[in-house]
Amino acid sequence: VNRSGPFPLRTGVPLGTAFFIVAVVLVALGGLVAGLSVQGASPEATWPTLAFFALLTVLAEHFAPQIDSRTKTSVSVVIILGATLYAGVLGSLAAVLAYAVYVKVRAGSPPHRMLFNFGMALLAAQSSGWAFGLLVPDGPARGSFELMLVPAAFAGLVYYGVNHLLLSGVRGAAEGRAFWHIWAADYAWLWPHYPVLGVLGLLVALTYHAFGWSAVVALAAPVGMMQVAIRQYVARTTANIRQLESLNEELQREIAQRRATEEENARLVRQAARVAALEELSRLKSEFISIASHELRTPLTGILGFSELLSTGAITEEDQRQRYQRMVYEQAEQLAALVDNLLDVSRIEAGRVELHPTALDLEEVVRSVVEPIRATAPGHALSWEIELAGRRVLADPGKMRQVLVNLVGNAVKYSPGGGAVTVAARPEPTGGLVRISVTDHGLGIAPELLDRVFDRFQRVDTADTRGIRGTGLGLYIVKELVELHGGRVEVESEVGRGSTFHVTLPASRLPDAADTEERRETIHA
Amino acid sequence: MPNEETAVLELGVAAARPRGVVLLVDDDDVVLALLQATLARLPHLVVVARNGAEALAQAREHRPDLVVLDVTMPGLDGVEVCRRLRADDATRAAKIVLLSACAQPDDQARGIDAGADVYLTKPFRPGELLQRLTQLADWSS
Repeated sequence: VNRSGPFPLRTGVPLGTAFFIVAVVLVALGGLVAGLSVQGASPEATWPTLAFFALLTVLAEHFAPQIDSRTKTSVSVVIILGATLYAGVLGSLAAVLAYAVYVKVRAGSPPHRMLFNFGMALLAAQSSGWAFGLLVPDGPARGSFELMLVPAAFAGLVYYGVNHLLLSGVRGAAEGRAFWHIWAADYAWLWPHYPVLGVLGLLVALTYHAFGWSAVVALAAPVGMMQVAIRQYVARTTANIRQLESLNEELQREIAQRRATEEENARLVRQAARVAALEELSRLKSEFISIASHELRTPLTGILGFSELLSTGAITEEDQRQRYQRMVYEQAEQLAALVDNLLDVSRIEAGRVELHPTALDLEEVVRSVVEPIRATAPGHALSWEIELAGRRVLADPGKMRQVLVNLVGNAVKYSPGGGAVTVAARPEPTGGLVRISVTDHGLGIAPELLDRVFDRFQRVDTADTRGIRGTGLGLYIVKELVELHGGRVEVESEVGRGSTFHVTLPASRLPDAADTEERRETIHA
Repeated sequence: MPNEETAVLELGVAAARPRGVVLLVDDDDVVLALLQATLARLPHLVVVARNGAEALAQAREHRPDLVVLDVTMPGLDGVEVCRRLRADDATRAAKIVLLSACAQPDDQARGIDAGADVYLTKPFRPGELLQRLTQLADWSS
């Protein structure tokens, strides 16, 4: 059997709540006075009887098991109803007063709460007594039990209704919620208990009437045992729940901790990756510096050495002298190209490369790149094959030349044994794009290095390539320039078989013949 | 430092007859040509090689008194060639000059550890090189 416990009012009662409480207490007391003056005191309301019911109420409340912070089983309602049915308004008053004072003492609740509990319970008890009196005008002592069952149940329901209406009202006022919400959420489920409490109250009243206080105490014994059992059960269940809750908390903590650890780990992994990337960059940079210094020193050796020999007059033969002078010039040129590359990279990295794209005649560009290289690479068979059907490439002529010089230069450089080097250009079947491919039959690139060949400072460093000059900048410049054009670079290679570098660039639309002529002139001009 | 011009001339005069074999090793044609031009006036037999393997073969064949070795080469590098020359009884006696475009102290230590007599960095000055070679080979005597 359940009933709601004291409503949760904080100290410092809001004005509305205070009014509500005062009103309830005044109505209850008014009802009391009115009942007494209209009907007079019940003849059964003797001092011993009232004292007995008051004591019984306190005992019932004392042993009532607490189910949770809000809910308590309440045999005390049975006693209050029994007192009401047996001794009328004075019975109610005695039991309710005992109840309110006990709750105050026991729970240490503030005075306004005691006041409200008193008023509420008194009003509920009076209402139920009044309802019972309507149906059984002669009082419980003189009716037959079967005929009083339904009125008693009805009285219980009235008690429930008044009690919880007031409870919802005062909580609503305190919590700022509509009282029916509180009712529906917290109290609606309780109603079936109260007819039973009413009948039990009737039973207490009749037993007291028939057999006196000892019979009621005997009747209370099994109820008390049941209460104790329920208390035990609740205590254990609560302990179990607590244990579960603490386990759950522990789990939550552990999960949070684990999550934090994971985050920390992820952070460390990210940091390690950053550090590794920085270390790799720094390694590449110092490698670059040593390569660049090597690449600078080699032509400088030729320039300084031959200049010295020439200037000291150690070379007397005229053809030797001319040959060495040419070498000085070539080495100086190589040095200039290297410096250009370095400047290009710094320009690219600073984002200061400007493009002036025009519709290029690719064949012309390729020829102008391949011819001079062919002259310096007699061991290679350089050829080109342009099948663009009048299509042109949208590109900056100077940058495009640079891309092709680097690619064809690499193709020659990395095929030390000679062999065919071909430049091919074809429209992509998907349209709108032109693909230029430079193929050699040289050393090739190992698969694990393929995706890094376009990186800065990255050189294919193997025993085969160690003697080949290079700074690791050429392909990086190619990639950056092509991507600036909105194109992309790709490479296919097989060690020992050679490599093919593909450059895909946007094509201008297919022009008609006149248009082609016109553009050719524009470019030539 | 003595005047290089003088050194060249003295060597040119002093070297009236062939005094031995010099092996020049470099993968770069320009540097090789420079070395050859530098030593052109010496009455020595000059042998060249363009990589490490070739250098070892030439050394085995010609038993050079002096080897000028480039460090950075395809295949066997100069330091390794130096080590192998020192390991072989036939070539152990040669004076070895390592010539490198790497100027890091580590590289120099590596070269000396491998048994090189002199470690020079590029760019080198022909007169100075000639002088070092002269001292090393004790040709002036």
